[in-house]
Amino acid sequence: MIARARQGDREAFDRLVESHLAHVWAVVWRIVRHREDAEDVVQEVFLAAFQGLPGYRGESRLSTWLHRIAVTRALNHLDRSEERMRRMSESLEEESADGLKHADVRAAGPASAPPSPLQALEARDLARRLAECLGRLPAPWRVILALRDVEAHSYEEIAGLVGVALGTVRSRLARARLALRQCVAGETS
Amino acid sequence: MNSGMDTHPRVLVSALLDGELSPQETALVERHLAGCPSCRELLEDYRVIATSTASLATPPVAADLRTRINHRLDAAARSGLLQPWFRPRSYRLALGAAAGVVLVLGLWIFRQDNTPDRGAHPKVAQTTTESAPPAPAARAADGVSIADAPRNEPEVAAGANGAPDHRGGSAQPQGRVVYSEVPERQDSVAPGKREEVLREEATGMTGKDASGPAAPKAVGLERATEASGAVAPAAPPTASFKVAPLLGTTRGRILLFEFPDRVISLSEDGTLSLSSGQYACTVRAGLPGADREVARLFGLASQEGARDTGSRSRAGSQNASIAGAITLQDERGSTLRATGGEIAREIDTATALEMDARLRTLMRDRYIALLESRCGAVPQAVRSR
Repeated sequence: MIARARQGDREAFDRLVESHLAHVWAVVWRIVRHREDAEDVVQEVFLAAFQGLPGYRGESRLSTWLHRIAVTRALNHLDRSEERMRRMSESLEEESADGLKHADVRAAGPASAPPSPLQALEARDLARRLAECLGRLPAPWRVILALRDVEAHSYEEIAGLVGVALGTVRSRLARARLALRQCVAGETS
Repeated sequence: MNSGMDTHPRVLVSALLDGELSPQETALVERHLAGCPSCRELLEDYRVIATSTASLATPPVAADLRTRINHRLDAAARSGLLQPWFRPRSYRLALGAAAGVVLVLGLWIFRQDNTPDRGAHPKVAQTTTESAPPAPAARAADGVSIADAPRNEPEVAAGANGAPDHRGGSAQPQGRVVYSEVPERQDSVAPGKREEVLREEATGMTGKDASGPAAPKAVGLERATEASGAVAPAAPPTASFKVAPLLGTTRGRILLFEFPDRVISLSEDGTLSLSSGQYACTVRAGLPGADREVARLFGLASQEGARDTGSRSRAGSQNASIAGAITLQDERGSTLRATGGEIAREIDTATALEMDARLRTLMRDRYIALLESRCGAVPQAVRSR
């Protein structure tokens, strides 16, 4: 089927779309977390895949190849969006040492910390709040969280995908988790 | 890497969860954890967040998303944004229909020519062979392959007209989106390779001349540069234009200008795609006033103009290049109006000439700079127009 699609057989490509749509959608959704935007990106992914198919040599699984296109397209989408660019610049400013101290103070809590509000949440509430808070996270943080916690990429892979230094991945991921923790736990207090 | 190590090693705790610490760092953090309840709690919260995030449900795929993908593919193909070998399904149907017409016509001619001898000789097979020269079309109609379908004419014409040849032996045509493969185990891929692929992905190009104008910003490159302390490359004028979204993201009607040496697709949202020889690039103008000029072009294409009554002869060869070159399509790529065609709603030649002139002005004043910022120098054939 792949060979036929590479030859421009549209019906074969339609079947490939059918087979991989759910996977591509999931990948894009986890990064973009906005239905209309994610749908636009998914369409871009398959258009780009069709265009790039002649260059696909079968050295990796098609799903892996599509996965990569989906991730990079989703990242490009976030970069393109002016609103997200604004949020991105704000969030990067927050990555100053002051910002880290601020996060540390909140995260550290008193020496004899009470049981974590986050851990006390029912699974359903936790999932709902996590979903809400993920949508509020600055895009660069959400992307790295998705690539690590959902896609299970290594730090090195994430650094390559996002185009940042390894240390930036490490610190940004920690800050994202801290921010998420604060956001989720903050709603309980 | 102080990371708050003087108080609580938040960053290192996070990395510990992911198994991304060196043995020395791991020992350091574990020692801290042994005496710090709040950090142990933090680690547990990180773990909860990680596992819960991974298990968050994904909303179902919209029921019509597949249909929309198909529409986008068709629209992109019709507006010349896909590879030359790709044609929308309607094209294949048209080829099949054409082959059928040729076959029926051939049979009819055969029967007319051979009526006196009907039944005398088994000539049908022979005549069928003679009247079916478009074999590729017939195969395409069968869905076997459209690889033999006619190639994109501008590519052929560009070479014939002496337009700059950008092929240069490259395996992939310049200016096209090509996704490099990565091995199955991505951790075996060098980061440099991934960044290279990412840059190609972000720019929507491969094979671009590295010495060309400022490359468009790839994902995170600025941040990477910032982190490494390197000098940032000259940035494209991002404040004055917004790089067009990639394929299939245009909105509104499409004006398609199919000239022998170039194909230009202009969407109502200001997205312009240029294909000339091996050069292919898409940009979107975001400058003040761009919309008015683009809207004017679409207004011209939509207006009820006078039928050609001599204007063709007045403009001579210029008209010849315009005739049949301009098509107004809806968002899905269906033809609404065209020049030189036989459809009921035709763009008259005088209007086509004005549209051509306005397009050239738009290209000269606006789009060529954007195209070159994003994809490198446009072919001379386009620049000299």
